[in-house]
Amino acid sequence: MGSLMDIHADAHALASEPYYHPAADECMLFEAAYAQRLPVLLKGPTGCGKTRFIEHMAWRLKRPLITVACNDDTSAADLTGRWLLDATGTRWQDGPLTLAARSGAICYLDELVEARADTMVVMHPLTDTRRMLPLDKRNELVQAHPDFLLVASYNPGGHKELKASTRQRFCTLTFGYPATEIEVAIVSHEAGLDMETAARLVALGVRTRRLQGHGLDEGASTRMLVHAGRLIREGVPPIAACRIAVAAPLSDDAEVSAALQATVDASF
Amino acid sequence: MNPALSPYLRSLWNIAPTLLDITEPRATRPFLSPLGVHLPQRAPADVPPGRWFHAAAAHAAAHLVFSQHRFDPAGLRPVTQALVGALEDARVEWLACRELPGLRRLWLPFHAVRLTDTPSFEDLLCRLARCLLDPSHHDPHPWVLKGRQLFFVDEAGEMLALRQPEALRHAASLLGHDVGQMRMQFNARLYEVMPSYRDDNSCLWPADKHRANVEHEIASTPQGGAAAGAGQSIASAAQRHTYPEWDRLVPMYRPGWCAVHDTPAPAADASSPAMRMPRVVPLPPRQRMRLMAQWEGDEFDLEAVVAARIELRSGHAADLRVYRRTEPRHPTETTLLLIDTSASTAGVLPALQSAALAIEKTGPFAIHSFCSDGRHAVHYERVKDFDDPLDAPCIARLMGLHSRLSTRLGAALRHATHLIAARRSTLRRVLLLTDGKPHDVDVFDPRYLLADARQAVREAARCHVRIECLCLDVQALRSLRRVFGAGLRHLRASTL
Repeated sequence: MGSLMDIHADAHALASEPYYHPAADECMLFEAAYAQRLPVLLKGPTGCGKTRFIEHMAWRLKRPLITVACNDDTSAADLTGRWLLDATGTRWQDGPLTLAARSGAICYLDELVEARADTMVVMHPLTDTRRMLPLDKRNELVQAHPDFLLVASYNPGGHKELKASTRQRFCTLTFGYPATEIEVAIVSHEAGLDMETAARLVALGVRTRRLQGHGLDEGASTRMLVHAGRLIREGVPPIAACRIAVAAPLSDDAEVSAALQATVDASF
Repeated sequence: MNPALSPYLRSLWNIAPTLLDITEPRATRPFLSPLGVHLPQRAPADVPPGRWFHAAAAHAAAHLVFSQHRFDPAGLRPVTQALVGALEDARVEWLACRELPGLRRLWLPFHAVRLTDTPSFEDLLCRLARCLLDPSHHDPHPWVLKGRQLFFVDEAGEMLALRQPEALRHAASLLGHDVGQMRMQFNARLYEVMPSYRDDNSCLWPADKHRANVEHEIASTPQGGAAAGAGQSIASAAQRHTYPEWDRLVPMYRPGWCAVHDTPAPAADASSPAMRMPRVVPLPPRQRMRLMAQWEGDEFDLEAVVAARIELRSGHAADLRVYRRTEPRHPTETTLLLIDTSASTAGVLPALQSAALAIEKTGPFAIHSFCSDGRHAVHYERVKDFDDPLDAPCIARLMGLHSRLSTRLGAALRHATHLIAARRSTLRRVLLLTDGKPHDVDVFDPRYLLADARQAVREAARCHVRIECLCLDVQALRSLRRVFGAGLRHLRASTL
């Protein structure tokens, strides 16, 4: 955060259509929420396509997309902006949320729950009918641009939970792993693999998800399978590709790792 | 028993058969029963044990998934029965390999084939099994070739011919007839299914009587439950929390199985002679630190800004560390000391109590204790909470603890994890002080509570809570090592 360069919303416009394969009616629902400027929360396990979905929707709606990856150091000032010092004096630098609110971009707060508590409070006035962002340090009240929309993502499997006061401000689209045929198509497209190999990867993914609650918190994500597929495309033998992209990242537990490794061995 | 086998089968086929050790130590062959998959305690001598157990478990699982039919042995000669078994083994493996081609690589190394000029029936059966698992393998023997042609539709071995049980039985009869024509000897009593990872195929035939004793033997394994309700009225004033418990035989959680009754420990007389008063340790309040003159921060540090502006205006290089921000003062460690006060600690409780005081603690800590009386009455007492000072009444409560009842470890660990997980801290650990192994009145399987505790330790690790154990009993260290791993230490009573 706090780059000294001026940021322009135009720089966040998407150049080409990001690939997204709809699982159900989520695109239509998002468009309706956007038409009413209702903030949207994307909820689902890691690597199931939340970020890709918002990129795709920003492209469809022809809005710039400003993404902030939240972590436990993300503070309110990181989102709204701060004073900087340069050769001529002090200068205010808008944060990504302020930039989006002024310019009418979609602001996407990835993993919102990770951010510090003070960030939740700053965005509250933006998410109700007021649609405004108070910048107390600058003594300014930013009225959100008519095209501005706030979108956040959230992985409910983690150990942190969103407060009700935050969660009730959003419409929530729930994401899961795509249906098998769709997931095969996604892996095949993203990794540039034939359907046969993609189907083997997805079958492996489904097998790891059976261990959810039996040693794993979450099974292999679509993203992981795409990573494995790209390694295979690079010429890595499938077993080695799945070992480093799927089995090893999923668990540190010796027994679960051994079981995953044996499953990978059996799958190819 | 390799504990990785259970998740292995779940991920392969989404099945969770009970995996059981065969009690007879000399047994070398797996078998299936209505209770689950029975595996020998040791793999045969001449094979890599890890691969062998995977191969055996994967083959048994293939039967569970694909062998739905029970063949009628009436009118089948022993040779034909053995052939039905061999063809069914090959069929389920072929179907399994269609979904999971890597299984062929797992099974194939166990198919060692002896090529002799005058092969016995068993030799030919092994050679047939080899050919059916690996269609690219060529065997010149006409009987093996015939078996192969009956099994597959095509030359390449990509289409299965024996899809129906009747077709399989018919093919076995044809091959059995040829064995008779070749005047080969077959001793059904000494016959063992080959290769060694395959089960004895008794599961393919209607249940016979000699397996019944196995069922009886396993059915006596307890699941608890009957002794429920005994201690419920005592703890009516307490906060009641229910936790699942891990059943190692199923293996699954039993949801809401244990009830933990959480109460503050009763006040005790502070002038008790047993009490030793250590130095009172005041706990520092949680603080945030304001860092001035930083490269990065949320706000200007005004003095630094003014100084920097003056330097710049004068044409000098300025120190651009002009921000301030707040940060937590120190990485904090939070400890929960959990004292086992079951009846078996009667002789060593003073040692555990003084250990609780003597152990070095940085950051906030709590002292809790537990004992249990069946799964519905796990008594959990809070001697000192995280934010309480360690003062005279608190030490009196600690010294006032007394030994009673049993040790349902898993439920207590889950409750302690639940309590400490709510604390904000860089490092959170539960330190169990115990005299030995868990035990409870409604559990008769000595490994059940250990397996459940092990599961509770893993659950805690997933919420970033570290569970460690200080154990007074040398004898118990070996079994507790499996529960706590590197977190287990031996505590010598004499050092306290």
